[in-house]
Amino acid sequence: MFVLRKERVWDTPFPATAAMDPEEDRRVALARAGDENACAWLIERYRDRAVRLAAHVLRRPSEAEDVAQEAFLKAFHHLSAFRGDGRFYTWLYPIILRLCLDRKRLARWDTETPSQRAGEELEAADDGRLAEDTLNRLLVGQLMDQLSPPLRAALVLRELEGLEYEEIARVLDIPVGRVRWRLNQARARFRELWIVALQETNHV
Amino acid sequence: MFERDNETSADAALRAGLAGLPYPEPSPDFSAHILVKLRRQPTKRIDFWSWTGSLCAPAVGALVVMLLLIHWTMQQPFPMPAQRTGVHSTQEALNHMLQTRPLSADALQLSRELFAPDPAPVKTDPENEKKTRPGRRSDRGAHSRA
Repeated sequence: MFVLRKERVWDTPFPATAAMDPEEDRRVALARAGDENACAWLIERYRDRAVRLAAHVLRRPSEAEDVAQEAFLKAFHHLSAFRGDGRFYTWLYPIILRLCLDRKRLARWDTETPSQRAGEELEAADDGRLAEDTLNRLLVGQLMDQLSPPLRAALVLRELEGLEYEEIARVLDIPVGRVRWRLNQARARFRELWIVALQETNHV
Repeated sequence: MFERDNETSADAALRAGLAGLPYPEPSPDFSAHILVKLRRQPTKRIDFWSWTGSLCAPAVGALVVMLLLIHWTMQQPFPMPAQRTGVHSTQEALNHMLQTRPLSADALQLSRELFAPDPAPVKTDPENEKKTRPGRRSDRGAHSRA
């Protein structure tokens, strides 16, 4: 049984465009040589983000941890192929996304999405007007359920992880133009939902 | 202007909504689980190689022995055809014929010819020779009967 986090754990956005981190480079080099402490350090640094990314792309929270662990294992096994020309997450994220998309292709589930919990929250609002953050969360949950996994991935990487378009293109292995298109699609869809929701709440 | 404001607000709402989306907290043994699996991998590899080695060692040994044998046989001189005796070769031919051909009248006739001593050349009548030449109707009939 997992515990759901509702607050954001990082006050600052993920430093995707920050310069190379020498400490991380050193740890990656050690991990490549088989140093267990370096592996543990990298896991500690990225495990929350890995689980969050998997949970949002899968929309199946109970599977997220398994996927994240599998991704770490694969990342460490094939670390010798990592050229070290980017941060460790540029190596880890594509593995997570590939695993998520593989699982989605299997279509082993169609339930357990956060919308169910969102529905409970909606019922719990007794004054008829939802708090703004709750409304946003519900709308985003609804949006995420409507989007395809690649669109979700692009959205999460951009808005939560703070990656640049080029980095997203690299992680998703698609052209930058397609990343822009995907993000525009997702934003436009959210805008529609948001405007409708605003009109409905104003009518109440 | 209103649309642009809406866009900005919607984007801000999207960001805030995404940040507020719930997700599972990693379990306390998250790292330990991965590290244990990482530790297991090398032993698995060793097991695999030891298993492969035990399987391949006899095959490699047999291959080496075979190559040595081939090398040794290539070193040996080949027996010359002239060294064979006439009787020996005749016996071989007979054995071969008995094994491969059906024991028909023709085959027995041939074996008799093989074992018979070389006859002295005899002058024969051309007409007589025509009669004994193979391919005649009477011979073909005898062959088919056999």
